[in-house]
Amino acid sequence: MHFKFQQLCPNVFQNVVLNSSIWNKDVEISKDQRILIHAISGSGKTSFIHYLLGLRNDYSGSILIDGKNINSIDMEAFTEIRRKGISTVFQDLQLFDDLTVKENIAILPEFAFGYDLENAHKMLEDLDIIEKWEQKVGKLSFGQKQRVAIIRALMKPFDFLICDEPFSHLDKLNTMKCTALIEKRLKEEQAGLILLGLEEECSFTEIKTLQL
Amino acid sequence: MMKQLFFKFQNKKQLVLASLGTFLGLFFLFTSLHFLHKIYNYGENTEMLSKNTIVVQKKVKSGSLLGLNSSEFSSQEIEEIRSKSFVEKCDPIRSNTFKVVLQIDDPLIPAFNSDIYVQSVKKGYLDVKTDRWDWDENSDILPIIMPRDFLMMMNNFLSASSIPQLSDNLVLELKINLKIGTRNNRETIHARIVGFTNELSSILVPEEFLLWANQKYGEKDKEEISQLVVKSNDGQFGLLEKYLDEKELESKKSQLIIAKLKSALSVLLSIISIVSLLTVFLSILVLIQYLQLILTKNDYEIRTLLRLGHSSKMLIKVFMKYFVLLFSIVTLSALLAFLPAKSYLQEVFISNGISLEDSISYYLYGALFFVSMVFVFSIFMSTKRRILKTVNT
Repeated sequence: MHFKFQQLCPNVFQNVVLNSSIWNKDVEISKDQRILIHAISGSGKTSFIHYLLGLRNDYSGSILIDGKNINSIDMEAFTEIRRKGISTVFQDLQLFDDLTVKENIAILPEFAFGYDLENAHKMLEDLDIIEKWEQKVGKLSFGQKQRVAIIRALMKPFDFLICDEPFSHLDKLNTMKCTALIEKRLKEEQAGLILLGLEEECSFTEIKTLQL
Repeated sequence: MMKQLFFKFQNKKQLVLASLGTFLGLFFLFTSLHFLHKIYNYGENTEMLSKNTIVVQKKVKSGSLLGLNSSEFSSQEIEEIRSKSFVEKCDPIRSNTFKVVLQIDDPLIPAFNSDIYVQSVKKGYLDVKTDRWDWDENSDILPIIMPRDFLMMMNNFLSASSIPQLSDNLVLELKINLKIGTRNNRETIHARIVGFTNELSSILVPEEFLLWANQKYGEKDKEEISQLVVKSNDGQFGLLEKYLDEKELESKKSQLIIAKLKSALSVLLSIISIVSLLTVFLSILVLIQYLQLILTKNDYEIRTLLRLGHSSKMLIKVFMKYFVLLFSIVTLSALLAFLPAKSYLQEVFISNGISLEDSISYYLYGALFFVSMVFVFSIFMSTKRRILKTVNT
């Protein structure tokens, strides 16, 4: 999978002078790359993710996925991209509070090749929240929820993993553990990473930084 | 799991009320449509006198009791009626001049004996297959046509004896004996009912039998003719009725009464059917409102599932499955409630002399198909519209 952004700019920034390496530029990201997009608050970070997922189109310029304009991809094809091509850790996590941790993972439309609920259980153990397996997500702290959201995203098949501030409520140790787990899955899936964060640095290897 | 996510944590009060409304609506719809159809068809295939044919007799006046006015028809009077241009044919109805006792010899009901009269009309006046109405001295079974009044009387007798009443179909299976002649010279004839009539009060037998029995067991020299069967030409029945009125002749009114009764009942049942249909549609509307409420409340869940890669088709399927299952349970319950209600009402009709055909009306299946299609289509369109709206926002 391959992303190409051509003079992409949110409508709200049309008459604003921007110092960005993405907005109003021609940029390409392929699945063998790891990109950290450094974004300060209000720079359009969440909008960018929504554009990538085809959830919004309030922008000028164009986004191409494998050479095809995102706006011309039909609903069924985009469902397939969300199902197998892209996995996302959303900033607001998008978990179901009334379901247990196990159910939140089991509800995925498809698991990665060779993965099942046992693997998710193991990942929870790696991230020190194994005792939360049968607990409702609504009862967890935000940091615990963040780890569940990461595990859910890693359980899917993907060509690109997109993470919007995935470690914002995690301490250094847990961030390291999550990073290691993500690195492992990126290797297994031979997938690219688009990481959006407020910091200019991160502990991922071979990562390139772009300014939003 | 999606079912749990979408429905488990919702308030079910509206759903229960709408389901109850649908159940009651469907129950009344099934019941009213079934009986509307049965009442509409009542008597259609069992009347034995052919089209434009009536039985006439002289009006009874006070003088008749004193012997001043005879109730018999003379040959002259019969010829006069025959000569009219609007009359196709006219013949006397023959009666028995011998004693007849009807005996029901069947394990279905207790022993039943009654003195009766039998009559006969020529074959051409009857809507009965000729081979079923044939009789000669060597025949084992005598075909007879039963007056409905007699059937009603019999059912009243059964009801008073706390025995289930007889439907038309059961009566057709009864083993009946006619004992003819006097005690010293008696013969038992096995008979079988082949149809019913509202036009005559006596049991009808083939003319050949009556001629034979009158000759063999008759107690009178001369047969009295007090009733005639008259068939008018097509489209001239009105002229015949007018003529009968002028001549102070009368026809049996039961046909007219039945027609009026059918008409009144049909109007009543039609109104109930319309009200039931409206109730069903209103309840479906409430169910659709509940569905939309659920879809709105689950906006976040639907959006998230779509973002995880679930297809809109798959989500529509979850909602469809839930509501179609609910509707199927409600419909099945309404059908199960309809069956005993049908049996009960059938009994009530029989005890009032109206024996309706027992099978379930195809009107009911038609209504079931129509309402189900409306429901499935409405639910599908509501869900699809809402989920696609979520996809595109």
